[in-house]
Amino acid sequence: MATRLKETDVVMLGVGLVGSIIGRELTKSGLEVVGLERGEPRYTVPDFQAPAMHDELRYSIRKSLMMDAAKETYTFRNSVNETALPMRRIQGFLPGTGLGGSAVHWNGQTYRFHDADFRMRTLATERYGKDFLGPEYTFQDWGVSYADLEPYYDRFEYLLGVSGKAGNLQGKKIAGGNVLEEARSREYPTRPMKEPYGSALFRKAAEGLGHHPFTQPSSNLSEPYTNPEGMTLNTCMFCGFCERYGCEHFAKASPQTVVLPVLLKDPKFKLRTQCQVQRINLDSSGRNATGVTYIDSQGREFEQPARLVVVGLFALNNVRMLLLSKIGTPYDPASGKGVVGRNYSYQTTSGVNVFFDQNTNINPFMRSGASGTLIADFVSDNFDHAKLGFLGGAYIGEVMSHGRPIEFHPTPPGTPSWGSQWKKAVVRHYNHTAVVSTHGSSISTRYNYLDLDPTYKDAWGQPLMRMTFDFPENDIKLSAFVTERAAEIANAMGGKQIAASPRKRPYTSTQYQSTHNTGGTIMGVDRSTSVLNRYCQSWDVPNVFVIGASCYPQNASYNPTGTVGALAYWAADAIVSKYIRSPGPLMS
Amino acid sequence: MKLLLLMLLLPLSAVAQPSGMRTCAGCHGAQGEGNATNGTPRIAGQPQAYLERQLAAYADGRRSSEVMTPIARQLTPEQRIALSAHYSNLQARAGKPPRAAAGSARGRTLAVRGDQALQVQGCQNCHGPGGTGIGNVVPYLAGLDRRYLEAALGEWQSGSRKTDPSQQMNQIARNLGGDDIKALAAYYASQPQPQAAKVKSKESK
Repeated sequence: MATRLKETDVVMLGVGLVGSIIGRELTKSGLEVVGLERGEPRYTVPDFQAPAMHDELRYSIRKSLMMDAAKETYTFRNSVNETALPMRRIQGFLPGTGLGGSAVHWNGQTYRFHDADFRMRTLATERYGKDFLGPEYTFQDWGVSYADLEPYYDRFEYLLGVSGKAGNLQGKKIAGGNVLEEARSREYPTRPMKEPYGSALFRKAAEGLGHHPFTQPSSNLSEPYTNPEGMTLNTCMFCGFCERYGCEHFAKASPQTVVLPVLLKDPKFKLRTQCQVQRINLDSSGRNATGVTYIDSQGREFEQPARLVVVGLFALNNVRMLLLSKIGTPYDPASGKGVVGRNYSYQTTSGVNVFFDQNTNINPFMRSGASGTLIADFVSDNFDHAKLGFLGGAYIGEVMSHGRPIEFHPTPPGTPSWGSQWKKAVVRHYNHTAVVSTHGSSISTRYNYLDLDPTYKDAWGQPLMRMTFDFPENDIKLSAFVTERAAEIANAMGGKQIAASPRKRPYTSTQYQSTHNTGGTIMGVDRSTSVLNRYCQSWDVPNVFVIGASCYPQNASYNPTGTVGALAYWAADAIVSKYIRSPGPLMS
Repeated sequence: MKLLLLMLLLPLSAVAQPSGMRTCAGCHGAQGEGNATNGTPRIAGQPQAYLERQLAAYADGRRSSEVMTPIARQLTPEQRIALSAHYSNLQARAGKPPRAAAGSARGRTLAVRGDQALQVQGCQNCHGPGGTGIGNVVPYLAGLDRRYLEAALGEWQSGSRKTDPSQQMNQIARNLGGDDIKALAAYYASQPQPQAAKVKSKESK
């Protein structure tokens, strides 16, 4: 029997990046917020301190900061014709858990999407015609434009203190920055990061081929910075333990370093950790949420009544929460009808290894999560797709984030995969190999989707999320094209040999590719094709907002976190300036 | 034969006595062991790149000292390199570390753990467990003179020392109060000095 708690204004599901921002904005506006986090509380001191934090086996391989797959996981299959099986160890992506969420272990690569991403259906149709891609591709407009989100990107970047150089300042192109980016209203808050050697070789090669290289925008900071919340971040030390790790130096922007300490001091905010939310409760009309039911670490069940529910979990778990709560119609791939779980997409990545001679020292260990140099010449719709037969794009860059000993041992093709010859090759190539990556968009199709698994359940007896995904033909073509461009640059970097690996089918969930899972609770302006309206508000239950990469109708070329942050501020603004004044649907 | 081989392998400066050494020895001791009576720090076995950087900084003003600045200005860049190589390769006798001074429990907490409220990370993140230094850049702190450590943190705090381009050390010192600086200095001064010069000069191969 659940213990019924005192009603609060807002209950926040997940206290990660979204939860911390929403918590701060809503308490500032006078609302009382209860934040429910499934994981444990943790702080820079003592939890992220080295040398304990620099334990590659514990954090990279055994994934100590990630969702515990023994308690809950996802099931996976490549197509509806297969039976999905649970991931017993989560390998393909990194769903964080604990206070601060995935924004604790992220790399800090911080970008803005293009208008061509937000208005993809409209703009692609204008440029390439209505039937450029087949009817199986379900990409659509977000219901917001780049211009709508620009002020919120700006706020988010100034919260984080992102290090970078503007290439398009209010329409004025600036050499050295990303001249192909959308116009930004002001310069980055801090200077760009230092350029590692491999990245410098990439820059020279890319420039020689007529591309426009620039320094990757980084939320591991290049210099000390005090943000508008009064939080001071330090300079990144290039320790090489970024993604999959917490930062010991207060140098990586994470909820812990940019906003949480301020939020936790506010008496209007109550943090409760190790609380596993089971469902959002609805009243008998099914149109109004009354709060949530959760189970604490001692197995006690509580009902937390609330007037407003905000869901800010890991993208896949946002979708699962709506399905478990029966909010919105689940997507049916046979008919193409229904919305929750629709338009799941991923990220299409590939790599080119460049093997240098013994005199070229790349020093891959001396890296930061978001250090490096890249080009945007093949991002989004920055290039003509008319003769290419696919949509979307990728950035290409030498953006290595580490050279850690267990995970990084590049060897040329033909090297045995174990034994003394392999060891010899690892020693030979470790310090003399650069990796050029492509980081590409993922288009949505009617075949890729998320639903509840009919067989497997979590430790609390709730059905697991089932993922059905394989790379669409569009993205295989995209990867072939951008990996060829990457190989051209790699060849010009002066190595002795290159090895390119364009993305191939089938998607395999046992190989890490990207944590960027998107879609499933997508936003839009048409309730028959979206779960949320343009303010991230549920069409069906207007006192539920859902924020995260699950809102993306398809995934773009760049890393998604910048847009998650912008959406958090965008939705918070809509809640504070519109919803609170007049609770109800913000769009009809 | 073995000695001859050793002499061929070692840089000349590590075997012969570099010019200017007599001046250093006056305060830092014949073996770079430091001088407890006037608070001159031990420099034997400090990383070569670190020592070079300090001499350069004393010469160009990024670090200032009534004693060290005029000396560093008189040294040529070649002399600075030779002296740094010499002292980084020395294995000074380990002195007896002073007994833990009052307040060093707090110092130990700051060194190995840090302080969340002050936003200060543990010193050992960079200076290594036991404060024995890391690599060719980060100096050891263990067994250095307490007064020297206090003064060094004071330089970071006031900003007169500008040898850390990341400004991490300036930030950390600013976040620490005067009592914390005393406690930290007392703690590291009481730690056993590194026994051997671990970092040899092998910049190029």
